[in-house]
Amino acid sequence: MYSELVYPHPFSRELFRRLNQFLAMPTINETEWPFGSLSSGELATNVREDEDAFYVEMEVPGIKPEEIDLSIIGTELQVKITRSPAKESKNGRYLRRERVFGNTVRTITLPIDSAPKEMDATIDSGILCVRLRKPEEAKVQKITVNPK
Amino acid sequence: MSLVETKNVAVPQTNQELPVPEKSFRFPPVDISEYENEYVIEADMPGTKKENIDIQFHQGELRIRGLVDTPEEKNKKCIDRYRQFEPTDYYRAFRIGESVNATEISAQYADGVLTVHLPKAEMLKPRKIEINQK
Repeated sequence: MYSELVYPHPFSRELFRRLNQFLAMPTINETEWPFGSLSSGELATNVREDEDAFYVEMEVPGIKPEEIDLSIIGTELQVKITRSPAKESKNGRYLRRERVFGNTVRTITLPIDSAPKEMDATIDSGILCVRLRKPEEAKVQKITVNPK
Repeated sequence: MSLVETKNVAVPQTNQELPVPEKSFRFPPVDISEYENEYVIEADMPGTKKENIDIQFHQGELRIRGLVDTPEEKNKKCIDRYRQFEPTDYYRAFRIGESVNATEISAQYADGVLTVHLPKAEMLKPRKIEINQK
């Protein structure tokens, strides 16, 4: 952290106050569930939940089903993307390159104690959707109130 | 370089037929490659559909727009645990000028990636010049 004593100018103070504030922000690994580990080439992810299952959606444009490896490790879902090498021909050259390339791994920790019951996945227009069925013990138990 | 991105949404006012979308949108990341006879733009636009993509070339400017449907009704019963992306439309514009043959521009959409082929104008294509004997 930068010390205010070293930079006494009011402008510097404000600048470094803001910088310190920024540096103090939690990194991606420190944020609460469902973030597990995050490697380079971030896969934008949404996680939804209903009574029966978790639904993990990821943006995976340009990725073929055979380039995706999904595995359940305990209560973690690991999504591994192995992208094929760029198809740029020897006659071509990049003028601009913004799209993510290379391999990516993302792990999502599920907020349950035992492994999901079953998993299925679909991919449509570059969005991967993984459905993870909750184990029985993780489902909401409904209690009926009986009259006396 | 012949392809220049239109830096922001405040595109020239000369063209009233191609308005910038009023709804919020995001810029799709792109790769632009140059080949001997064409430029190729590949844009990541996951979640849209072929029929919801609009590509226009007007007065030397290429505009790409992709509409993304809002989530289905069944999704609304779910609780959002985490959101890193929203169903937001895509929009991006490039100032290309006269360097491409506008009538031959073609595009494909597959696996969430839009690929636009921009054939170079004849004057930009490499030409082999024969040396004639006297």
